[in-house]
Amino acid sequence: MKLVFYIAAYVLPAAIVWGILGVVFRLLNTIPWLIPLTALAYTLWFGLLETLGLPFRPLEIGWQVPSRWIDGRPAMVQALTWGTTLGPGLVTRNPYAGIWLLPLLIALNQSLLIAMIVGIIVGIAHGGGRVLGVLSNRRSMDMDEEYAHLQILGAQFRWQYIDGLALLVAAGALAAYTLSLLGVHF
Amino acid sequence: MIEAWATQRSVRLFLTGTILAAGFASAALLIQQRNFTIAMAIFSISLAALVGAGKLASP
Repeated sequence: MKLVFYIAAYVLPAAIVWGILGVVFRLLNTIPWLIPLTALAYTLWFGLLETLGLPFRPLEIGWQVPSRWIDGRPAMVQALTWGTTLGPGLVTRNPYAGIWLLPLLIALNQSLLIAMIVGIIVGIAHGGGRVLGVLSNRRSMDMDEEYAHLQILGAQFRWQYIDGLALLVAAGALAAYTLSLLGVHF
Repeated sequence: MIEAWATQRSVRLFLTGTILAAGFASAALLIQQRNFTIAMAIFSISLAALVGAGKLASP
């Protein structure tokens, strides 16, 4: 039961936040070319940097949950605080460039309603993935702290590589999409 | 062993070109079949799960 509440604390806020983002970004897609071209430039740039392993500073908000929000609070309030801040993934540290592509991709959907539904599912996927990551991190931290830290850093490099490859797939796809908007027939 | 191979400079460059081309070709096919937006929706959901789960790798 405790675990279900913990998972829900991450997934529900993420679904709400991404549902709203879906609507907002879909409204921006009424400006011709804005979303596809921005997404194409973004995916190409960050996809190359991550895949080629070049050093870069990710676009992230370095804000961290203040300790006074956590210290001395009941476990349920702590879980809610972590879930609300980490679940949507927008305001805390995120080393993967893929996160900022998501609002742009959601905006490509055909209607406001579909963009909202896809946004909600994206939020569930992100919050769900995040909570599993946090739970898995806790387990590895129980081992040996120094070893776990090294293991986590190594995994981050691998994960960034995979994220870069995903961004390049999107870059190729967005290039084709942009050409189709220009009237090129495939 | 796969990791050591995949992180070589030449392999990274090869993958960059191949993946870009594969993305372009699949999208061209999907646009032709009018399935591009649904495919991108599925892709964005998968990417969200990947980016979220990646936090397990973040200190």
